[in-house]
Amino acid sequence: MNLIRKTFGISKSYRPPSGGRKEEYDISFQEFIDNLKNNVPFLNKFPQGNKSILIIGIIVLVIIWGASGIYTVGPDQQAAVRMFGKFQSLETNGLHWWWPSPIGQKDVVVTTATRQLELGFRSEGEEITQSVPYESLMITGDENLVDVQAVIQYKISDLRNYLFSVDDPGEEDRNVEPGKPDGVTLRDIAETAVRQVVGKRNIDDVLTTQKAEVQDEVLTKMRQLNSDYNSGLEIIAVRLQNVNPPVQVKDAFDDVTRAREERDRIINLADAYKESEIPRARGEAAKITEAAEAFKQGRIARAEGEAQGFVKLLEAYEKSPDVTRQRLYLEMVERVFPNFNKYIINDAKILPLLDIDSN
Amino acid sequence: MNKKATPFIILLIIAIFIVLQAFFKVDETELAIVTTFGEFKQSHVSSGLKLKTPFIDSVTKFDRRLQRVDVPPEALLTKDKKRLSVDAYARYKIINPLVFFKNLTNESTADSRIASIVASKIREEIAQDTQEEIISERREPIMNSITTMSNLFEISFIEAQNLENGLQNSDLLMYTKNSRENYYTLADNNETASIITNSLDSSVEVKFYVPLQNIWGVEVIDVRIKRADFPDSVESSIFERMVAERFRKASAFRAEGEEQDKEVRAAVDKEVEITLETANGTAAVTRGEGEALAIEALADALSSDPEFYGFVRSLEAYEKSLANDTTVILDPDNELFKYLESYSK
Repeated sequence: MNLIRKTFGISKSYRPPSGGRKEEYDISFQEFIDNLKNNVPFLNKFPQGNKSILIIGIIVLVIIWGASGIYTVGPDQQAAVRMFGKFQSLETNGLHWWWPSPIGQKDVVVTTATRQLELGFRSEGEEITQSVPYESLMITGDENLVDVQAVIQYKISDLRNYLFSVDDPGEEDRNVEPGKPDGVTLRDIAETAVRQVVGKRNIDDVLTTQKAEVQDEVLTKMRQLNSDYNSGLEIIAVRLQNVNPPVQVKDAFDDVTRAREERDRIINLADAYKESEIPRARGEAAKITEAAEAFKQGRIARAEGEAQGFVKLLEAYEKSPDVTRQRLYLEMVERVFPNFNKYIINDAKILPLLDIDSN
Repeated sequence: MNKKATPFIILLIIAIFIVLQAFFKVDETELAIVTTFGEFKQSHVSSGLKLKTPFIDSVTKFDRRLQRVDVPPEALLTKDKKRLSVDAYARYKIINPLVFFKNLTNESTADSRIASIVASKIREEIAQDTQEEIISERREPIMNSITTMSNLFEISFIEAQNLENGLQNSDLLMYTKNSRENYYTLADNNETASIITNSLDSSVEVKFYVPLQNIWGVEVIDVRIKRADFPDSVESSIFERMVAERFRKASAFRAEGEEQDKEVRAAVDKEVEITLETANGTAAVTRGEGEALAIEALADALSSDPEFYGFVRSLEAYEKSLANDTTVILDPDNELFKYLESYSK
C-alpha cells in the first residue's frame, strides 16, 4: 500500500499547475518515470531492451494522450474546463491545453451568437413552416382567446451557469442538448411570461394598441424569471411576430374591421356632402339676394325714368293739350289696329248672328 | 518476458484497481453521499476528486442542478365555480442529499412526490381564487403563495409534539383559521403562545407545518402556472361568444356610421334650407323696398296731372295687352270713325 501511495501518490508532483504548458507536463512525466524507478527497484532489473521498449511505449501513449488535450477556442467561443468534475476556469479565444479525459473535461461553446426561440410557431429560414396552437393560443384578461406568435432572442452570458446550474431535457429540433437551459426551461419562462402578460389585457388592446407594451412587459417578466433560475442566459429581446384572433373566429374579427372601415367611409361621404352642399346653398342664396337687389335697383331706375319721361311729356302736352291727346291716341291706334280682325257693325241687332269665334 | 515481470504486472493491476476504488469524481452538476454497508458516512456538496475506503464504501450521486417537475394539466374548480385547466411546473433543488436519499431515494421518486405535493397546493390555492384573479389580476401573488406553501410539509399535532423541543421547535410553523376566516393564516405570537399552552379557543383550527427541506432535503424554488386555460370542452362556446361579441361590435360600427351619416346630412339639409329661405326673405324685403322707392319716385311726377297720366298709361296698356289677331267689333259711331263717313266738323 505504501509502495503504491509513493508511486501514484506522487500525482501531486506529476500534476502541473492548472492550464500548465506542454513542456512542464513533459518534465513532470520524467519525474514520474524517475520516481517509478526509485520506488520500484526491480524495474531497473529489466533487461535493457525490454525495459526501453516498455518505457518508450508508455511515453508514446502518454504523449498521444497529452496531445489530445490541445484545443482551440474561437473568437466567438468560450471554454469551461473541469478537473475531476470540478469547475476550474473559463478560457477565451486562442490555443489551449487542458487535461484530457478522465482527468479533465472541457466544454467549448459559442457564446457571442444571438440565438432565438420561437414561441407558437416553428420556422425554417425565413419561412414559417408550422404553427403550434398549443403554445400560441392564450386567454386574455376579458376571457377571449388570442393567437400570439413570438420570437425570443437570447445569448449565453454566463457559461458556467449555462453548463452546470439547470437540468433540462433539451430540445432536439433546435439542437439544444439535454442539460442546457435554453431548452424547455427557456420555453417555460417564455410561455409563462407571455401568458401572464397577455392575461392582464383585453383582447382589443393586445391586438391593436398595446403590442409594444406587451413586448416590453414580457421581456421584463422573462428577465425576472430567468434571474431566479441562474440559467446563464441573457434575454436580449422579445418580438411579437403575429398577434391574431384565433382562426376559428377570424371572419368575425375581419367583419369588425370591415364595419369600422365602412363607418369611416360613410362618415367621409357625409362630410363630403356637407362640404359640397353648404357652399352650393350659399351660392344659391347669394344668387337670390342679388337678383332681388337687381330687381330693386332696376325698379327704382325705371320708375325714375318713367317719372322723368312723364314730366317731359306733360310739359309738351300742356302746350297744346287737345292736339297732343288726339295724336297720342291715334298713334296708338295705328300701331295696334293693323294686326286686328276688325268688324264694324252699325246695327247692334245682328250682333248675335256673328260667329266671333270663327277664326 | 522475464519471469520477474509477472508479479510486477499483477501488482500494478491490483494497485490501479485499488486507486480507482479509492477515488471518485463528483461533477460540477452532482452531489454525492458515501455509505458504508448502507450506513451513511459522508455527504459531498462540493465537486472534485474525493476519497473513500476502497470496496467498502459506496457512492450515490444526485443532481445538484435546478430540477424541473411538470405538474400535468388538471381541470380545477375556482372559487366562483368555474373550471380552469391549469398547467404548471415547479423547480426544485436538492439541498440536503442525505435527507433526500433517506426519504426519496432517487430523483424520479422525488419528481413524482414533489409534483403531487405541488399539485395539491395548487388545488388548494385555486379553490380560494376567482377565475378572473387567476387569469389576470393576481397570478403573481397566487404563484408566490403556492411556492411558499409547496415548501411546507404538513404534520399532525402528535408529530409536532414529537419534534425536538415539541411545539417550540424553531422550524415548526403554525397556521390557524377561525370560524369567520376562509383561509389558514400564519399564527401570530398570541395564538402561538396559546397553542403551546393548549389554551386556544377550540373553534380555531390549527395546521402544523415543517419546512419541506427538513423532510425531503429539497427546496422548491419556484412554482409557475404556465397556462390557466378554459378546458377544451368549453373552447367552442368561447369561440361562439367571441363571434357574438364581434358581431355586436360590427353592428355598432355600422349603426354608428349610419347615425353619423344621417346626423351630418340632416344638419347640412337644415343649413341649406335656412340659407336659401333667409335669402328668399332678404330678397322679398329688397323687392319691396324697390317697389316702394319706385312708387315714391313716380308718385311725385304723376300727381301733377293724374288724368293725363291715366290717359297715357291706358294707351300704353292697350298697345301691350291687345295681341295680334284680336277681333274687335267696332261701332261706326265710335269716335275713331268720326271722320270715316264725313270730314265735316
